[in-house]
Amino acid sequence: MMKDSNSIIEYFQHITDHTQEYAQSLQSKGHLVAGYMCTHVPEEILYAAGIVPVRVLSSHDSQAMTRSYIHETYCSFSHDCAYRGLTYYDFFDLIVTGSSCIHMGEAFNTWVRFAGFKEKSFLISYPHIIHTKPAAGFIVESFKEFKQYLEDIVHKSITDEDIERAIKIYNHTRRLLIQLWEFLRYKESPITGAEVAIVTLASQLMEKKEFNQLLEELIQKLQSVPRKNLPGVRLMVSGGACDDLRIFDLMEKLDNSASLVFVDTCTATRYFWFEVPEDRTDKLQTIAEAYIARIPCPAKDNFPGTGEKKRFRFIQQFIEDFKPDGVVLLYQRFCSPQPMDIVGLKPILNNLGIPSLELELDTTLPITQFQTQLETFVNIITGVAS
Amino acid sequence: MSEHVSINLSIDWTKAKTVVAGVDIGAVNSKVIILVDGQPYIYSQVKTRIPEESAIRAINAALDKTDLTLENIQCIVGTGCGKKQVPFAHKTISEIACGAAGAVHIWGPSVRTVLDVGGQSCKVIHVTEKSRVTAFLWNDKCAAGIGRSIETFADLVNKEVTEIGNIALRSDKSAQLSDFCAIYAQSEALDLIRSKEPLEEVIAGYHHAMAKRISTLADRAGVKKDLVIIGGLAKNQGIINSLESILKISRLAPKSEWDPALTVALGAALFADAFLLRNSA
Repeated sequence: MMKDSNSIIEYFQHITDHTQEYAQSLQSKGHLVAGYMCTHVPEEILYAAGIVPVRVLSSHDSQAMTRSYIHETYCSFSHDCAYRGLTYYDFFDLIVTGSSCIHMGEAFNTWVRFAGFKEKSFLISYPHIIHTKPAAGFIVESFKEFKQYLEDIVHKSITDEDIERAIKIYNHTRRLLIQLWEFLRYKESPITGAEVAIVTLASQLMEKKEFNQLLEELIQKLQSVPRKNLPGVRLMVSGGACDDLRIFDLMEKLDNSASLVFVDTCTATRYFWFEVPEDRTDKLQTIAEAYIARIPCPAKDNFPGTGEKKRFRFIQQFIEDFKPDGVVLLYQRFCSPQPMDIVGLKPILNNLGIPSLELELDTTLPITQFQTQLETFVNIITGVAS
Repeated sequence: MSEHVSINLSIDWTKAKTVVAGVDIGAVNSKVIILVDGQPYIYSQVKTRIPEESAIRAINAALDKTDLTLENIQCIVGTGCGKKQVPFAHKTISEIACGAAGAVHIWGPSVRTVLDVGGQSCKVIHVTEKSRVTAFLWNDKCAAGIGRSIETFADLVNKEVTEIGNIALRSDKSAQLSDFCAIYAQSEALDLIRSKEPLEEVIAGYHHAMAKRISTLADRAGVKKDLVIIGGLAKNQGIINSLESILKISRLAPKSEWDPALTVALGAALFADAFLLRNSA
């Protein structure tokens, strides 16, 4: 038992800062560890095989190495993830991704072709658009191939019981994370949005049983600490991959006061805000349907014929529940799907009377520029000069 | 011009009710404006080096021309990218809010769009008649279309940054240059110069390319009339002419009594005045 909630949050922060050290400690305990590069990877199947999935995230190192492997105008997140493979993440037993966007696909290819993962990599095929009738069947076939591949690695069959156990552990993680985020629905909370973002990022890096135990402990402690007023304007973030926690910290340390109340990104709530139905007969079919039904990635989210974005319905629901005063639209420089979504999302936000601000992420964070833009955005919302 | 100071000697600050200052620490220049009873009394402009040192140099440059001291200034507002490093500022306000306030003060309440083309950034700001910012868009992470891109190009062709815009105007034709990247555009410009293309055409082409880049930002944000352009590049007629032609909209003419590069510092001083008034009420 850790002594207080701050100690637990600091531990989670430590893992986000020292992921390599943490993943290698899992290996030293006898675990096989798989790096995964996208939330389309069904972690439940890896976990059922006895493999611990650890998400590959940005290094945030200023580097030029990956320019020789990936096109200059691919997003910095894909460059940063490729850099991990080319440098100090060569210890993974396996690397996995789902075919999501082409930028991350190239990052995966870099690992496979140039970082020594040719014989220990798996690309899970996904249909380009997931809102079609054949999509689930297509994904089930991909999952079957993936399961077979893992069985060959671990030299044992992955039973339905193994998968069901994994589904329940992962669902428990998801429920706990939702419980944590729900503290931020109210004006007073025992935890800040920036702290919740730390825990959420750690959830993508940690062995789930260990994570669940710690998060249960954290929630228990938070329930007994006094709630504090979430000061200033309530900000929601919506966008693509954003694992640079400093941006959330910056939002909560503005001169004119703001609180982060929700983060709709694939490195935050899009990662876990869904459940896989339990105790169904066909496990892979159930996982496939759950991954289709959750908040979609902008790269996959188009209803054929209408072009409607299912994700926007979720965003509107989150706005209703978490009541942000403004939305910060965060996206990686050179990302295509995310900024394309903004074109459709902005009129919806305008209709709801929610102002929005676009910020473009890169390997490094232009703190002063972002601070100026965020403070001005807060001023626009409050209608006060300073 | 490394340092410039101007003073209105007809004003006697010793008889004034309010003395306030705005300090704009920009990426290229640091500017100070002191208002006495709301009227411009002194402004100074120095090259920005280390922000804190530049703020001190800029205020000292202004105060050296008068017997006014720092202690006599009742409220000082810092702004610009170095605003947090103004050691003597009582408050800081974003350069976006200050640019809007300064522009509406100079050009009047019809202003709806302020295009601030500075040394390190370019912003499109939408404002109300009361100079309240309703929306803004900042340039993406690229040097194309900002003041630095013109400075480095002026170096490349061995011209003064203050004259290069007028050279662009001398040519009826302009060379076709990339607007994707300032460095690529300069590399293409060098190729053309080596191919003996007339220098004026190349300079005009470069200005047009940078103006195109600025126009994409303006298009994304939307330009509503009346439009004003502030910041250092507002004085570059080559950029302005190209921009007006691409956007198919004319800016409100600059006011002869105001250097557009001082608009943000003026806005900061106006905020200082307002704070003083609010606190004394």
